[in-house]
Amino acid sequence: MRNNTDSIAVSVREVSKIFDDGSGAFVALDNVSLDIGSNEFFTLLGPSGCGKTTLLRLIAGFEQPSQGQILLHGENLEQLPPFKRPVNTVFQNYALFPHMTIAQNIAFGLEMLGRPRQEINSTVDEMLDLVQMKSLADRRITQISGGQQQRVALARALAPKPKVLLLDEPLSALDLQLRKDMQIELKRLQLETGITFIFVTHDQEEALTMSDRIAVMQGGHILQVGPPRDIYEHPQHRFVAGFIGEINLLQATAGKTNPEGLDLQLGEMSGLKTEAKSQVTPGTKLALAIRPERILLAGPDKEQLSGKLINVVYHGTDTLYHFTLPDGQSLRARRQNTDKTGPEWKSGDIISWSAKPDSVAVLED
Amino acid sequence: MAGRLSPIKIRALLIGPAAAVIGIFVVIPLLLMAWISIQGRDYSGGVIWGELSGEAYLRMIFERELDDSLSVNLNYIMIVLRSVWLSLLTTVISLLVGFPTALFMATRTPKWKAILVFMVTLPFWTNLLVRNYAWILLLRDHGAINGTLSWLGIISEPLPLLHTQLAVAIGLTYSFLPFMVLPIYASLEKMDLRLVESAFDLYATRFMTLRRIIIPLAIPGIVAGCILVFVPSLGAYVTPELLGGGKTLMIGNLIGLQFGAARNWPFGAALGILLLALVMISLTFYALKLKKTGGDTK
Amino acid sequence: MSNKIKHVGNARHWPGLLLATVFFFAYVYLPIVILIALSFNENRTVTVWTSFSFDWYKMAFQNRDIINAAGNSLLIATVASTTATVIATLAAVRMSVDNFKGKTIFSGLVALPITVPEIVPAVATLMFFASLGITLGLGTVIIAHIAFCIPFAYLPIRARLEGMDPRLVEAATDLYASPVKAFFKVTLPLLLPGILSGMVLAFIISLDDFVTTFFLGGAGSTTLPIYIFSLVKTGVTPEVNAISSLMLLLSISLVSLSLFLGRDQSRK
Repeated sequence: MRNNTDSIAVSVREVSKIFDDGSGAFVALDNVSLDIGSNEFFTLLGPSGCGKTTLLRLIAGFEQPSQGQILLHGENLEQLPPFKRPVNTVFQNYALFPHMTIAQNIAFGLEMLGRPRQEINSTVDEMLDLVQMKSLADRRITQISGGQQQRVALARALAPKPKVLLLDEPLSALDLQLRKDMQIELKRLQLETGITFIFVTHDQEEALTMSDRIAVMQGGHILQVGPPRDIYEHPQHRFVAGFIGEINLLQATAGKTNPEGLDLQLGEMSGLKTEAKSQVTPGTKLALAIRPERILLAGPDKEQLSGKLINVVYHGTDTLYHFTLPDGQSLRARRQNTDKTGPEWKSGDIISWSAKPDSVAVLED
Repeated sequence: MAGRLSPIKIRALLIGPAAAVIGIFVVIPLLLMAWISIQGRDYSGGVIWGELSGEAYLRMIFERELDDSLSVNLNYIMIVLRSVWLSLLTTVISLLVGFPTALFMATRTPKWKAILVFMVTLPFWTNLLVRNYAWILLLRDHGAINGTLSWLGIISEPLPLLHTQLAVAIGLTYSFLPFMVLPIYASLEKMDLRLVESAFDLYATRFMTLRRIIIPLAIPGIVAGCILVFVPSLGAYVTPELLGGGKTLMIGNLIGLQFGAARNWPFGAALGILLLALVMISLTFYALKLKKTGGDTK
Repeated sequence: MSNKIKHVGNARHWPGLLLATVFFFAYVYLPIVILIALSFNENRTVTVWTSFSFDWYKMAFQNRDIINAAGNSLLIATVASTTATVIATLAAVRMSVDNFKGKTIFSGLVALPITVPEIVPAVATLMFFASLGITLGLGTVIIAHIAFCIPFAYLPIRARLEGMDPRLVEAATDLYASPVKAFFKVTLPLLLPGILSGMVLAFIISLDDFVTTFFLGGAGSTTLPIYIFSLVKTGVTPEVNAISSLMLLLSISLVSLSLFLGRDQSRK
């Protein structure tokens, strides 16, 4: 998808990282390859221990890969210590220097690069403006709130104008409202500065709202890379499907392939189709993933697809319906509450449902 | 980078000096001491190098008569036993005073805790010699205690307090008491006071609560405190020297004597090894006890 | 009912605890208070109070031996504590990032001087110097003091390093500071209070030392504790009370300073 090397900021090539503390080796990254484009807001998403932070630390240079190489704008970073890499990090707990003021923290990188005083001063001013902290320039780190520390950490990392900014779960210490504000703020900063952001998080919502592309990681592997919509709509793996949002995982049997798509059997029940990607031998067992909000509920008509209503949970904006399908599998469907009352379905009713072929994803494993 | 140092060189440069100072001026002398303890004695004060001899160790129990035969001499062993006995006594007194004090401290408000910890710590950092000297002023025949007692009319003759085992025990307790209080306090401080309340809620008496809840929780601190009092008491030099007088010598003083008037290096060295061995036994006991209770004192 | 149970159950109000604590502090502080009080006693008998006077302090300050001893004490403590602190800082900084086979052995080695009773290394070092034919004096005392000051400086510095966020140094190197610059710009400033606190403690320990100085000292290395000891052995004079009180006050002010320096400002 991105072949032009000029537009690739970071290229991770067959990188493995093995930690060995003497008592046993732990494979944190297993042969990972990845290209991250210039000016991209790229997110590494996964549960703790999936290797996302390790990958970030390899790019920053705090750790060296056991195998493979990492290129920054085509240049091999191997053997380059962190202080020689044009890459800056926003740490999870910010790691602001407690013995310096806010302005001194922001100036630190520029001073280490030996920039002239005048340039340092004007850049610090510019950064303070950018994160809206001008009035607090001479405060100590211990005198400001968590949200303010977060902004200082961003300003400090952006001040040397790095080619790539690495963000290691920077929002995890903030409370919900502040986190939402900072998500918007981060996206604005990325657009304004035009710097490539590599963002690490375990929060799928954060990943979906900010990213240009997301890489979902698990157990040292990258499972799927793509724009948020692709990841959400077309998960290729059971893990990706389950990790991001709510989803129905169903067992089905492949039927005939015809122009509209591939016919699917749910037990004895037919009528479900998916967009066929390639030829599938009829009779093959398939794992399907369908988002609950993509299940269209028709009411108690005699359609091909139906299920027995088990439970109804009212959620305000929508209502969640739990069904049991004739073959015993369970299915959840969300329905927007477009009017005050909603349908008067009761537990035990047989309700027919459908799903568009492009809403039905076939998982690869 | 030009002239970049290898990790081994950096290590040698940074850790090397500390290792060298302690290695050369503590470890090598201790090894030398072990070697000297099995050397022949030079009566002018020194050693006959290369002449292996077990005489120094024999001397702890036996005495060599003029005709070269050995007879049992329990004087030195008595000093060793007295040192152990006085150290145990010191440990027990310290525990009896220290435990309730630590419990009191642990149940105060944070502000008072800080003040009390400071007050307990402070004397430890003051001059040991001076603090023991202060007790001479109290224990002398015409000192503060005898003076007060005779002023009150309780005694007519001054009580012989100074130069007794009691005086040494008082002085040792006084010297090392903070070592008992602080670790016990540290283990009790972590205790949730609601545990005590819930014990009462479950019909326990005060005594039962102390025995079943508080003491078990304080065990790691108690064990650490006992070791921290016992070990330095065992090797005490200043306290018995000032408060004990000639009749209540401890191992430390006996060692000291071998390098002064007695001029018997091998015997002094052998006693040093004996003292180290006693310390090692105590520390091993501590390590085993700690493992058993599964506590940590750090 | 629950109210009553709570009151009985509240360990804050147990009888006997306060009594034991009062006894404890009386035991610990009364001798010191009496010593200081008697140092202002005009009477020569030392233990009977007559009237207030500064005479013994005046006498002490006019005594050349005391002035010399004080000079020696300060010289030894200054040289020993600063040298030990520099050596201990280097080791502590490296130990916090290094991993090597003998690491545990080194940790034990550093603590050795405070693990064994002081008399043992004192006489062992005495035999060591004597066997090498080195004359005892200020030099031998200072060397021995450096050795036992190292753990007192090392342990608080190490503790402070343990409490330091390793990401701060990473952040510095991420912001283009070389390891050497990161050390001087970030590690050292954050470590400084711990270093100073350790140095003051080492200074006090050296200043107050008796046993090591007694066995390793020679002509011309008499320190205040040695001088006080010799006076006490030959017979108590009120002058001893005056110098002793001064030594106590010096220690108390220094340890207060050390605790003030070493307090953890980041914690609230």
